[in-house]
Amino acid sequence: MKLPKLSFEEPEIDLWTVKPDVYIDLRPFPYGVSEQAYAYSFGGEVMVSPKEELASAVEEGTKLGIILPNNMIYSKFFLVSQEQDINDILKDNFGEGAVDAFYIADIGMDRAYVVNAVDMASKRIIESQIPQAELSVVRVLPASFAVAHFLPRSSGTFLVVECRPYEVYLYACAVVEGTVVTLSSDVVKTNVKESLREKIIFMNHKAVRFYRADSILQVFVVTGENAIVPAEGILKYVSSALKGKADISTEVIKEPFASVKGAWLFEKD
Amino acid sequence: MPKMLPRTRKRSRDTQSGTKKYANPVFDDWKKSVAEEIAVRETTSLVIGKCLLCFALLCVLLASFVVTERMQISGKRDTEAVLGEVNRVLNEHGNVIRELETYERYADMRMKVPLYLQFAVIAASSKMGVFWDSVSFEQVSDLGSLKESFVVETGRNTDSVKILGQWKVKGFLLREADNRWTLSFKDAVEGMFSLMGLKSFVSAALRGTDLEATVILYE
Repeated sequence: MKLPKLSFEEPEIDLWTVKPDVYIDLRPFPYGVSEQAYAYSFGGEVMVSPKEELASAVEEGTKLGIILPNNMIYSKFFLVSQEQDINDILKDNFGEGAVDAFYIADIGMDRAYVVNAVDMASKRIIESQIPQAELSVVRVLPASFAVAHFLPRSSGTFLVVECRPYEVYLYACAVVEGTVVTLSSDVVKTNVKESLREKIIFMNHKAVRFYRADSILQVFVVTGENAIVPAEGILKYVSSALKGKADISTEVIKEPFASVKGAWLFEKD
Repeated sequence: MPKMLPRTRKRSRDTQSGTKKYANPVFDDWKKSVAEEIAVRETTSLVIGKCLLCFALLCVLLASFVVTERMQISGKRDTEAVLGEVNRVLNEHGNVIRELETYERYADMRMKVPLYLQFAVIAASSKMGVFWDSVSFEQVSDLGSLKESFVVETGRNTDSVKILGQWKVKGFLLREADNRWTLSFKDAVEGMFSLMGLKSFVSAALRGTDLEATVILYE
């Protein structure tokens, strides 16, 4: 009797079946005189430690979830036509980096995806930031996504202004089929007054013209004690940028660790 | 192209893995240890699953074998029981037929003294402390080995007498006896037959408690 051949398929590695032990926001946070301190949380209280002390908190084998600044992780909303295949697009557009696509919904004749990618240059920077000889990373999220999860549930297009000690991050987001989508993001480090206004106008324009989304009608200002610009100032610049839109609602949220907390909220969701 | 892409490509374009919540770009060397852990876990569960499946199949095969075997044994037993019952009934019928034949044969015998009266004499002899195992009657004239004893004891030549029949009996005594008992037995039987007007010659042999006797009736 001829025995059937044994076949073992390569098991599919689904990282979503594994929860991270700790979430680290890899955007520097002020801590004494150290320039490389990071906020992290094991799911409860958020702590801040310089890189050197992080080593003792994050042991070898600890499963990490990392939150990256949006200029380090490519996060883009893709509309793919019927003739195209998302995998071909990924193949053509991304090199040696890590890339993943998430299907959201059919929008008209197109399919909507979120594509997140990290390039090799960013990889080297990230590896230098985390004091772990062998990285064990199970989650890589853009800061915009993490912060948006900390905010109250909203609909339509909304702007997040995250005021941090060294910079102000801007995220134009929308909720599509229950998923937060980052339409565009930017960062302002200097000349906040002028830059912020210009960038908000451009982001609003991009949301409407490029992504055919609603214009920004809701603004969240997320700020902490060490913010580079106080919330009142930000609100003034936002009002100036979105002048003429009478029904814009604004909300100030005082939370210095919105990204880490938002990431855990997303994880527990 | 990064190594993780081919796996993504295999998936249908509009479907996500059941647990997928968002795009999660992780370099292969970053997720190596976790991937190994998952792979080991999935492979282990796959192997255990296959083993359990094989075990279940084996159990089913074994159970079907046992059930078949039991059904076969049970069927065989039932068949044997039916055959046994058939044999028993046939044997009973055979016995009845044999007995009927014997009775018919006995009934056909036209005798001076009816056979049942002769049998009563034999049965009555059991009062001397003998239990009969077998009693048979034949209408034969050949005396065989008893010819000489018959001649010596009766003083009659076998050619000059008419042999009416022979009773052959086997039995056993309650306790050992000697030739005196045999002589008494002989006298008793011959005496009882003579009362019916039949001449008889009894030859009895005793081996311990076992008795073998032949009663020759003649005139």
